[in-house]
Amino acid sequence: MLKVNLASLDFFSKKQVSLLNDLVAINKQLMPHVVAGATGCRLEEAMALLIFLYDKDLADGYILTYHSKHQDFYFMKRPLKEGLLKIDSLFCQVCEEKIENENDLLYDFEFVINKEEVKFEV
Amino acid sequence: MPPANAEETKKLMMNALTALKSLGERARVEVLESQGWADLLTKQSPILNNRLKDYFDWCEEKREENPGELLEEIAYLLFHCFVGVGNIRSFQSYAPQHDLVVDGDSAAWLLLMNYLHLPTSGRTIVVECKNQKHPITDQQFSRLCSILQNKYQDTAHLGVFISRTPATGFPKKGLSRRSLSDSRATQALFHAKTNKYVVVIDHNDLLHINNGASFSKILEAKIREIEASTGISLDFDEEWKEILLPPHLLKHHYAD
Repeated sequence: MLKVNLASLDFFSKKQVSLLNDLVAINKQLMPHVVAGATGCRLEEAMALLIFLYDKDLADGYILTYHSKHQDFYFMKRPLKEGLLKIDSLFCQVCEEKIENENDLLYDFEFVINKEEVKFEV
Repeated sequence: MPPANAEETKKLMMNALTALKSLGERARVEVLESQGWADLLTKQSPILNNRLKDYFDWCEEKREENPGELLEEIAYLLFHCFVGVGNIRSFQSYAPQHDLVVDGDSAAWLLLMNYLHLPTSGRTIVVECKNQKHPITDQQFSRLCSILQNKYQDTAHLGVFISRTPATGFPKKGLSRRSLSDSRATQALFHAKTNKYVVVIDHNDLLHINNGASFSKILEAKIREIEASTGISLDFDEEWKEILLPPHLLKHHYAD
């Protein structure tokens, strides 16, 4: 089991780390709002944790791209390093519409823990 | 929670990176240095691109410019391109001028400091422009070191020369040097002593920036180079040979 010390992220309490361990035990795919909801931290803090894991190569990061007309399903999942889309024209595979305006695009993050067993501690 | 628009997404990423006490290699290379997230630290500036073009035209004697002002303008625009920049001021004292003092306190500026290996307690960068034919002398280099140490002791950890020429003692392209001399030695010693950095952005670097390279990436590479150089043994290539005392001193030597 890989132990990960979160002491440098000083906004996580012992209680929150315990809740985080419970979450990661059953879910390796983490989104910022899921971590925030499960641990009671703020969205920014959840994102900081996920970027911390990404930076330490404990998680792979992805950026999910949504069409504003149907925000329940993303239509594109790309590696985090590719950043936000800059497009002239794009085809949405969900509604089969052409997207011509970048303002019609929305984003979220997904991080996948790439180690078998991870235990967080402070 | 619904997905966020581009601005909110960038802000979330920015705040997350700022919350990290130090940035590892993956966050640096795969996020901050990637094309996809390039606008987290810097913004595009058509004016800078135009003035860089003017500079290279001036170098080739295709146009008239005030050389000093042209380089100062480019320096201003280079730092103005940083997303989080706050104030860019110019100071002059009894001593010769130091051209620009740049600072900021936004999340983007703190992230830049973190990216540049600088402590966030000192958020000021001191910039001096030199559009001269000869390389930056050790005296000029030492002067900026002195300003950083004495005037901005707690508030600045980076001094930047924007110069047409490199500084003395810096290796020329194609030549490998393992020894340190002149300004290069001053740079390494100053860093070892104070933990502050003085770097030179010269004509070649401006050429790279003009060709699309990121200014922040060039600064970071130069800072990293100084960090690495402090591990080199300071083998000065000034040849110290013992010589006879000059006559005006020699006469005292044998006086007893």
